[in-house]
Amino acid sequence: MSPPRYEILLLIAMLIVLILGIISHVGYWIRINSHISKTAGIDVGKQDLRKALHMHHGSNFNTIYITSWSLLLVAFIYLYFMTPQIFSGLNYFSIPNIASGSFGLAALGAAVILIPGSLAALFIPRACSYYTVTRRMKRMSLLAPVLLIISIFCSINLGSIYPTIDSLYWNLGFVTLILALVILLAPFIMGFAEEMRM
Amino acid sequence: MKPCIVGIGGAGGSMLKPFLQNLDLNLMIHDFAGNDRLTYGDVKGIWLESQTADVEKQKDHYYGNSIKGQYPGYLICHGGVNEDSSTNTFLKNKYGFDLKAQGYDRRAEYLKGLFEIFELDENLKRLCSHEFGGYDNALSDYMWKIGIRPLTIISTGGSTSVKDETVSSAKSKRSKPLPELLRCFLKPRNLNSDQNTKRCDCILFLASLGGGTGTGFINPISSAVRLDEPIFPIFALGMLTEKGEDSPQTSEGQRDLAAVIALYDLLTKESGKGIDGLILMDGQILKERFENYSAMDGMIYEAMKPLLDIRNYPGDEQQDEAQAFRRVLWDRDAKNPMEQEDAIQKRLFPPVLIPCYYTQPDWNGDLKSLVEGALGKKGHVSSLGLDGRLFPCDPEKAERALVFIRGFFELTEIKKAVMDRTGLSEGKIKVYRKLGDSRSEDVLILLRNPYGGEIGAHKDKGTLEWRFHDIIAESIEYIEKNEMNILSYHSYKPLTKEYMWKYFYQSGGIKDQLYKSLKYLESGRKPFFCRELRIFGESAKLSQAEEQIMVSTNLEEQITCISRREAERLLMEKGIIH
Ligand SMILES: Nc1nc2c(ncn2[C@@H]2O[C@H](COP(=O)(O)OP(=O)(O)OP(=O)(O)O)[C@@H](O)[C@H]2O)c(=O)[nH]1
Ligand SMILES: [Mg+2]
Repeated sequence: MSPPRYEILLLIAMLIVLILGIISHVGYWIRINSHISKTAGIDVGKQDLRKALHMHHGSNFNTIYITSWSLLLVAFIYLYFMTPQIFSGLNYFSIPNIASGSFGLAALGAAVILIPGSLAALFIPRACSYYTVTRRMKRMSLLAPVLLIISIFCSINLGSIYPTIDSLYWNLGFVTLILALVILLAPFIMGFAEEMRM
Repeated sequence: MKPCIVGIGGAGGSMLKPFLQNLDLNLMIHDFAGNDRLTYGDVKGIWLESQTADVEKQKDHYYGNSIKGQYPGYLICHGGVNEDSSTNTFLKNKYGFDLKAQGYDRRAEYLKGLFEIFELDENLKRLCSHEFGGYDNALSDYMWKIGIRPLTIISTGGSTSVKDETVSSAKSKRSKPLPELLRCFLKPRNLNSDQNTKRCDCILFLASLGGGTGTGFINPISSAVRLDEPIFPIFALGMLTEKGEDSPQTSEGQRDLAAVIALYDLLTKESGKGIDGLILMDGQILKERFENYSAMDGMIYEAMKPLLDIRNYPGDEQQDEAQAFRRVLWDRDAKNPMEQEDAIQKRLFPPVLIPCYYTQPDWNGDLKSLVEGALGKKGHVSSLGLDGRLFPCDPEKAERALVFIRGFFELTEIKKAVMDRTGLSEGKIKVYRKLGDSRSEDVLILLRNPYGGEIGAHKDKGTLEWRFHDIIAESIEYIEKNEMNILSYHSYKPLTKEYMWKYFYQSGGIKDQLYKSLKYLESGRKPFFCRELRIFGESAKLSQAEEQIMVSTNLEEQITCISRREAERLLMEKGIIH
């Protein structure tokens, strides 16, 4: 069997980052829970803990954050599934009547945002509200949608020049995508790191 | 607790800034939050100022005009008074006071006199009520009803005046609202909360003691609030002016006098009439630690954060609610809220609260170092500015300690650490635990009335008695040497001059009272300001006020106190304790 394509390796790298985020989140909860139940003097239920930890980050930040997660999904799908280059059986061009429609690309984007995107948008910002997000981090998060739009443009460009292949565009698309992912996961990872120092 | 923070005067405005900074992203193109900006502890605030020029020359344009619905906003205190106002003409002709004066030249007696006249002069009252649609006072009612009230929960409960509504509708026009559903989605808190939870349940005044504007408005506005809502919690944070000359070359003596008059008036208003507690900070201590005012103001904000934090420890939720906090401040060992409320009615004088603040990185986790950082090491009375005490005092003399702490600590251990340092019994320590963030842990300890009970404590550098003795002596000297300057300010009419003279120089006047205060400080008596004084009206009768005085000249108590100190000093000299 031939070694997996290099894009697949990068996909795995991205998954690792994502898993890191999830591990941080779980770890954070366990640590905080143990600190509080050790010191609170009463039994603290999960619900109470959620209520106690919850804080507002502001409507502007929430808007950017939710938008970014939705865009992230779109950017990811575009990058990996736009052309048959990576997953040859599974891509945008294999659904002919969307691909040929004049709003095809938009329809694909909308589908991605609407279905899993809205799920992610519901849960991730809520999870984020249990963390301290500093103003610097909030300002950094403004970069995420910018990076993601660059990534999406790269993918669209790849799709329109297909079957010509331009690896520079793909790489740029990937780098911006993973950077945005790191920015979006930063509150979780930083929160856990702060907790671990104690 | 969710205070409406009211900055008054030049210093008040600068101190308020960090409290109102927007913690949300600034998107430039659209603000999804509208006027509901995200601040620490969800506080709201307004800046009250008398000098139009000061407001207009703000370099950063931080504050907008609150009348135009801009937020954070300023309100010119005489904004409701027209140039040709008949009330003002009357006032000018009869007394020589001007409602539209631009600043009060660091004179606390100016506004004090002005507000007294409004309570006493029947003709003036009639004129004012006629001209200002039922207002008793053209300045304080205006500031309360137009500036502060709309930000508090009182505005949703009671009837709102027409003017209130114009202000709030102007506010809502500013940013186009998203469809309601989307808004709720972006701000989950809106789903299960009504308007009320976003408004403030108490007032916190910020002002420099040592100015004319800041000091003069706290009592009158409090009175206006009390008329509307007798038990609304009102706190004040006063910054005692630093030593030396300040920027527009006002001498230390003059500012000390302003500060002393202000302190005197705030601390001799009986419970239910004025503020519920005065948090005192010393500008001199802050000045030694920080280079400029903006760093000082940043520090004040940081120090108040543990009190403002709304993330309570699970299980400790309700206790920092503003009313409960107010009762604790007045508390005289009452067993339940009813008894406490009764105690408050007993015409007490408001307590002085000395804030002590310390922060350390949270992996330190050491409670003892945290508490010692805030209160200083045992036996170190005079380490001015080296520990977290923001006003000179001896923590061992405190009647109560209110501990606001952020970090993961056990309740009993916190109490033990504070008991060790202050010698207070467990019941006199109230702990408010907050979650904070995991970057650092910090503590704000408010010591209630940490003075008294010891003869000669004013000689020990670093005690509260010492600092007060100093500024009172300075002000007496200023009063004695500056009769001309005090009495012939601007356009005082002969009538006003006469009353001012009586207030300052007649026997039983402020100078006399201040001499008494010096004696009280020297003998360890508590409180040292004992009688409400007025310029135009009748001052309180001696006998009435003296009932309230809790004299702790109990000989036994003093001897133990002195001998304990002496013993400690000896043991320290011998190196047995450190
Ligand atoms: N902490 C702090 N203190 C200040 C600041 N600006 C001025 N002060 C102090 O406040 C004193 C003067 O008080 P102001 O607030 O400027 O006076 P005011 O209340 O506007 O009263 P007027 O006399 O009517 O101008 C000065 O002597 C300083 O000690 C500031 O930004 N921060
Ligand atoms: Mg001023």
